[in-house]
Amino acid sequence: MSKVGSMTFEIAPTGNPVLPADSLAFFLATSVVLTGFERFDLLGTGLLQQYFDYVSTHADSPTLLKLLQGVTAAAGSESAVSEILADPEMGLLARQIIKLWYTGQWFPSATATDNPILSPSSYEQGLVWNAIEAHPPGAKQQGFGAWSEPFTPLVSLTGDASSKGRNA
Amino acid sequence: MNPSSPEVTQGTVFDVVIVGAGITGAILAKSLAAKKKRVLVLEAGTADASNFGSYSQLLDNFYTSQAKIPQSPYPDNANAPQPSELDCEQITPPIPDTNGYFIQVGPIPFLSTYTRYLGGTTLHWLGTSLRMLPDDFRMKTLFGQAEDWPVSYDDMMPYYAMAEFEMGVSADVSKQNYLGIHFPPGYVYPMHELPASWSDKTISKSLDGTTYEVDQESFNLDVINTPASRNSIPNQAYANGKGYTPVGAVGNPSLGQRCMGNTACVPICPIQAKYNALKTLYSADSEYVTLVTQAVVSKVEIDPTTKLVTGIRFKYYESATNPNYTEFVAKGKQYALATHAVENAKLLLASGAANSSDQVGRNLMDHTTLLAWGLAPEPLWPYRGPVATAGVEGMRTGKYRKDTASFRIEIGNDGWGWPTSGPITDVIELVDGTPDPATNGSEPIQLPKLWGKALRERLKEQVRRQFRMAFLVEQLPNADNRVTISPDHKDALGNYIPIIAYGIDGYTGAGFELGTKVYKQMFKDIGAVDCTVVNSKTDAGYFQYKDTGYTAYGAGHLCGTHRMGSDPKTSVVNPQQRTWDHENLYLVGCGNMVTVATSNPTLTAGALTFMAAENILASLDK
Repeated sequence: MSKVGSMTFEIAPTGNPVLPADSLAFFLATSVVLTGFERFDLLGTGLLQQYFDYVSTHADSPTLLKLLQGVTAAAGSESAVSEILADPEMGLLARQIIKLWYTGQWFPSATATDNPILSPSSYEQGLVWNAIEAHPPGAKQQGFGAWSEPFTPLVSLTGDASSKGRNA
Repeated sequence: MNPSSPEVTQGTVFDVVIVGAGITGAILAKSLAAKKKRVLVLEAGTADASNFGSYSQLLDNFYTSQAKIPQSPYPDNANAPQPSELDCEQITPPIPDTNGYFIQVGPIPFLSTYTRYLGGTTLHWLGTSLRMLPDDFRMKTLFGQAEDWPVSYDDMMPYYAMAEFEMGVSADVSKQNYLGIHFPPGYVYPMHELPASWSDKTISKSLDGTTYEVDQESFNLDVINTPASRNSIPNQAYANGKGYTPVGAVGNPSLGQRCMGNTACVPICPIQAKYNALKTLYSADSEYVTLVTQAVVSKVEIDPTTKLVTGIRFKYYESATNPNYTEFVAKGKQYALATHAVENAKLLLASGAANSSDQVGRNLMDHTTLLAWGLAPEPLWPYRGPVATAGVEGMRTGKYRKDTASFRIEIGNDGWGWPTSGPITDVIELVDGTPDPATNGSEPIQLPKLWGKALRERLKEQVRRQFRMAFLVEQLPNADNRVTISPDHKDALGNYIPIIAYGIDGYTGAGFELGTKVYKQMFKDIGAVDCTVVNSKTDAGYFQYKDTGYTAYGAGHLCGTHRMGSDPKTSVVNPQQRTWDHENLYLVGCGNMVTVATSNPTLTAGALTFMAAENILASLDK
């Protein structure tokens, strides 16, 4: 049993880390830092478990673990997070995770031409649409004539001040 | 109306056999059935769009498609293949582009597509329902270009009204009576105009009242609400106070009573608040209409002596994934081909039919589209509302048409979705810190890799100022822009594959040159940063005019392959839309159009088809 920050994990007999039981919580905490969205928003997608499972099976486990540990521990410090993201392997994985949350799409590498959208839900729940105060085309419609007015966000239940509303 | 088995076509002589179940086939079927004529409709594609469950699957196809192109919800069916926007690349003659369904000879690839499903290309159309201008019918007389139509705007007026009813058009007459368009006294559209987008309203503040001068003629650049076949608030004054009831989704009519702003008219309206041909087909009298899907017509059979059509030979396949088929011949008193411009031409050529003029397949036209995109000085909040709700229509006609193509200008509500596949590309650029070379020039600059709140804020700031304009530049009929066939090129069922030769002439090139000047003036008036990129290496529709490079995009407006006319030597159908060569064979759809004009063509094709239906009825009752 080892301990990094508040996260505990086991080392398998092969020497590779086995993702510990509380990894999902660390994945959520890391995703909050990386995406700039609140727990409220990420949980609201209904996709946390699916994304965690997908990333766990598509990423190198030691890199993922190091990233989750590092970003969670550095969460309060922008420079500390930036330093982690400057690492070639952790940085690449972090950017894959950001893009997954924002677009619902997995980008295996910078040059890949097949970048799958994981599911219809992952498309619908792409955070890019929230970020630009719009909606994914073909889903989460805003209603008749809503397009005729400037966007008016709901007041975030978490008190998130990142959406300041019209003309912000 | 459930599709019938192909055996029902046997042992019966129908009043009319219609090939194709898109908008024109559906309008014919409904109109004729209303007069108690027995109609057979043969559709090459599947009925996958016709019930709510399978329609939802098409929507999921769109959600999970990496390229959100018009065809993305509608998978290709090898037994009834269709073109795709992804097929096109630059052509170096004489080597054709064979990536997709078409054999593209060039010099420019033909960039537009159509959908071979029950419901046809209206499944993915935008819904724009503009009338043609009176001038558009008289290009030869007024401007010395192309040909005049054998019908006039006034001839078309009652049929435009029929099409506006059937398709459920939302618009206000007071804004549509420009450049000679006129309406009968008291006419109103079925529904009030759709609300203008915030983007339209913001842009119109800068453009309304501005003008552009060409040869001392002044053109107004006001932003005008676009008539659309999308459900809005019914106009109680419609039909002399009878009002209008919107038509919702097929199989789920309470859905889609109003446009909800899904921003996905192209490629699929999830609630069918946008008109599609299924609505017409499924409201036809099913006692009189027999529908067979998965029935690909291979030949129009003709009696060599009388020149009358004796039957329609078709191949019925059980499954889109299996090329096994059974052949049948359907018989009728009258016949109509309604398979859209390319497939109609292909079928006629395969049958040796209707081609005494040698015009079948020729004069293929599209609106070659000039895209201009920029960043407005203030937020427009794009990616909301119908894909487009307004345009600049003031340059649709003028004296300059003597040597320069005219255009209408559509203003999108879809940010940079069309030109750059935004905002997904914006995310990738900002996260990876590298501008996409395809959109921002060929020299990538290393930008900071953003994450967290900075990413989110930057994305919002950047994307919400994005807008694009699409200049629908007219193309003249040109005999060399054509569909042909060859025994060397056949599909899985042994049917011909269209071979397309296509180019852009100087008339249209001059339209691009003018359009570029106009958009630069408009961007300046808006205070927008011009972000338009023409990439001579990678843009499939790249061409040069007077040593300047332009990129043409496809508008999906396939027209002109079997044009109508008053002279059998230069046209395929007569003013009644009957082939000159075969007394019982009608052709309907955009292929009949003499010129592509300056309006999105579906409403005009619909109106022409109501006119054709009357002529077919007259033939039957003779």
